Amino acid sequence: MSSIGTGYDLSASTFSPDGRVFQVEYAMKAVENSSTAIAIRCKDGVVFGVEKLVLSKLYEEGSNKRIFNIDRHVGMAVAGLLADARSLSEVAREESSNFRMNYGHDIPLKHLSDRVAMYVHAYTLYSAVRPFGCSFILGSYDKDDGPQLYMVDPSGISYGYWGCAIGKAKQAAKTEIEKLQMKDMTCRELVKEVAKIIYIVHDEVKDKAFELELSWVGEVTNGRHVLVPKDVREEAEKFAKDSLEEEDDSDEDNM
Amino acid sequence: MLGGAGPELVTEEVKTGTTIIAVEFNGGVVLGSDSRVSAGDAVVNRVMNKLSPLHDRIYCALSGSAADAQTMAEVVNHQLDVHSIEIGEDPLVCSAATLVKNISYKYKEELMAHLIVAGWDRKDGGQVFATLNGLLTRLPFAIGGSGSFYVYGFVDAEYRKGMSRDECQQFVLNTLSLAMTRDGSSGGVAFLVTIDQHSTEEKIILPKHLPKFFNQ
Repeated sequence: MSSIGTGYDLSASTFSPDGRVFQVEYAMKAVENSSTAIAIRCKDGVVFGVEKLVLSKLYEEGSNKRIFNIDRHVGMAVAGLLADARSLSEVAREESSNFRMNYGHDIPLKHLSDRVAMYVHAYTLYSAVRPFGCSFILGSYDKDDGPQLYMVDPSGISYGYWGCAIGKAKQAAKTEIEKLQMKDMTCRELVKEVAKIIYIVHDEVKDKAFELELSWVGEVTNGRHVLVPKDVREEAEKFAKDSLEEEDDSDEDNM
Repeated sequence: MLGGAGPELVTEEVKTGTTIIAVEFNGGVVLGSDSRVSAGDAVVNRVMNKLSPLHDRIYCALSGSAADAQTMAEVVNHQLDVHSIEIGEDPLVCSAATLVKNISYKYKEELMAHLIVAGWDRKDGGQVFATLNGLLTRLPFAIGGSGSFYVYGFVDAEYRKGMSRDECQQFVLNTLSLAMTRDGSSGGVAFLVTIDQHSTEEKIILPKHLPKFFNQ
């Protein structure tokens, strides 16, 4: 599946002869082992959805959250090593807080994303530390600049997106996302589609039980990032389950 | 700032005994100042421009100790340069005002300067902020400096909401003229800066062209 970087993969401060930094690539593999997280930007907000695998029936419902609040107006969904992700969410919170203290207003998402990406990148330069083993998606809504969505990966680059997916089923999720006309949708319409995509990419055989974490930020929440309210979430999950059943029924007709 | 009585030492601190004013109109701001710098009873500069740029569309008006005010303005100018490059767009007026306030408050025991920050940004249009002593507040207009005490009544009576750009310029000139006449530490020429979305316009108004009132 991948070439072994014998000898050149021991530290992040070493290039391989073909110009790769293996430690960073291995960090990205850690992300691919984690369950899927997606986020989609529509015309009036951003919706996050995370397939949170439940490893034990003893866990309290809603524990081990994978969606974080960074500032009032910014949400962050993560995939990969959860401990690394939590640490980075603290970094992002500090950046937002310091920005507000110095400049007197909410941090613009692009700037926050640049700052956290710079921080992640710093850990790919030295052999004394290891790169962060998580990718994360940042989203926000501002009444002047509209909704924004950025994704940062372990190499420390960040790009803006209309829709993106990270984790084990990211390819399948991306395919589903590309089918949507997100620029014309509202958050309320989109939250159902996000739930449906998570249900589609969830692998019933390998992974069994999962909790769907849904959150949004947009005009519908007045610019605050919050978990989707219970009634909206239940409606979205119902829509997702119903669509899956329909597709099962029509499976013989497809292909 | 307040003119001293009796003989002063020769090495008096250089103050910009001053009148400064900034007014917001729909789409921009007008800033005005006098041009006198005094060291005790001596006028050491009669043509100083106390309206200092912080960024393309953000200016501040200086009052208090000349050195303190100038240095604060230069430091914030530098911080805004870096900040605007980092965020990739023009800074907001409230960012400039917050930077000024942070210095004013942190060093409030050491510094004696009051900067009025005013400008235009794409999110909130024209804005005026007062940062006296380390507070930060947005106002429709603000006045400051030793000369301002003589004209509080005038501005309170004459200010109207929704003034046009020209009316604001006239309001600023009237205020400056009255203050410069009565305050011994203000005088010289009047500097006017008008900022809107499209341009930042600086003007000098000589004493002979300032509005005339009773006793002038």
